[in-house]
Amino acid sequence: MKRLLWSRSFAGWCLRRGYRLCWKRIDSIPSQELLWRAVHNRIQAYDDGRPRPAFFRSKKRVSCDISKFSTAERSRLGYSRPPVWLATAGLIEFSAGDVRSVRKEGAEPTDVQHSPSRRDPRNYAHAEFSRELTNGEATRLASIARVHTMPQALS
Amino acid sequence: MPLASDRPPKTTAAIVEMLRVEQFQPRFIDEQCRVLSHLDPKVLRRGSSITPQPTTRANKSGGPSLREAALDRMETAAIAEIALYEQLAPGWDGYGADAFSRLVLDAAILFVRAGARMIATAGVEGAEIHTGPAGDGSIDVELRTRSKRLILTIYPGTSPDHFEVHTYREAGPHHEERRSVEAAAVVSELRWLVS
Repeated sequence: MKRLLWSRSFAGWCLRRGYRLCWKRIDSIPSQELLWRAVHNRIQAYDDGRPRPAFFRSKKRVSCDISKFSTAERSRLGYSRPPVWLATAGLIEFSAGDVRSVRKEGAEPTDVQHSPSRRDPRNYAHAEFSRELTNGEATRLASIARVHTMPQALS
Repeated sequence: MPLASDRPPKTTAAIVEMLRVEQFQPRFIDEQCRVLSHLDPKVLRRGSSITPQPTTRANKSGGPSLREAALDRMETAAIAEIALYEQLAPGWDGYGADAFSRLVLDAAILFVRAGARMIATAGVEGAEIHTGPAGDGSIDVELRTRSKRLILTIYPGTSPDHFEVHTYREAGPHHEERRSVEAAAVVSELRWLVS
């Protein structure tokens, strides 16, 4: 059942739909699943669009969206209707495995947890890092994350 | 010769005062680099700061060298970007980010100036200066040379007159992180970058 949830098949799509309708929290996100985080402001990225380490570093939990439960446009522009985020926003893509792989040796594991948001705007795809990344971990994640959509001010 | 930074202040407020008044004034950094050049033969070989004549600040015609001009541009751009951070309202990253405190912004500017001064004085080629705002109101000051990378992260403290500095250094596959360092450690990290 869990494998089906992440499948690209029609059955997988239906199951995801069901999970969303029931607002069911997902226990674990497979490592290969892609995550998206919007670049809201050009100062969060280098000139070539790659995220700066601070993009992934915060004492607050770092938010992202699970791509299978979202669309690039929704993750990029936010879930408010109409969108309140800037149309110039970009999107950074990385995987749950990337987050797990940057853990500093001997440190507590780094992970991403599904955290569907019921607050306005409701966002079922919402996920959060399990803990604050250290500078080194954030630097490594920034170096392996990919630019999905270049922030328009940078292109 | 004892360095001013060898006498670490006891409180964060004292560190701020030290940074403001003494530590990262250009004259002080020059002095630090002179002392460093006595201690570190690598820097001495670059002929950066032991000699009384200006070395990297001017070329033969007396104007700034290309390297210096590029460094000045990077320093100015980094400081201008930090000035932008001041205008950011809470939630600026779309995910409920905090605004930046005046003290953190000031410290970031001081670190950018200190880093630029240190790099210029040591005559390091191909250096880069970047800053990075984080959602928790902290700021990264990232200084890179061709083989090393140093990130100084300034976190807001528990009161408006406090801040905390964490450091991350990387040289090839080797990296090292330190938390809550004092002013003296910041100077030694800058020295490591240019050594």
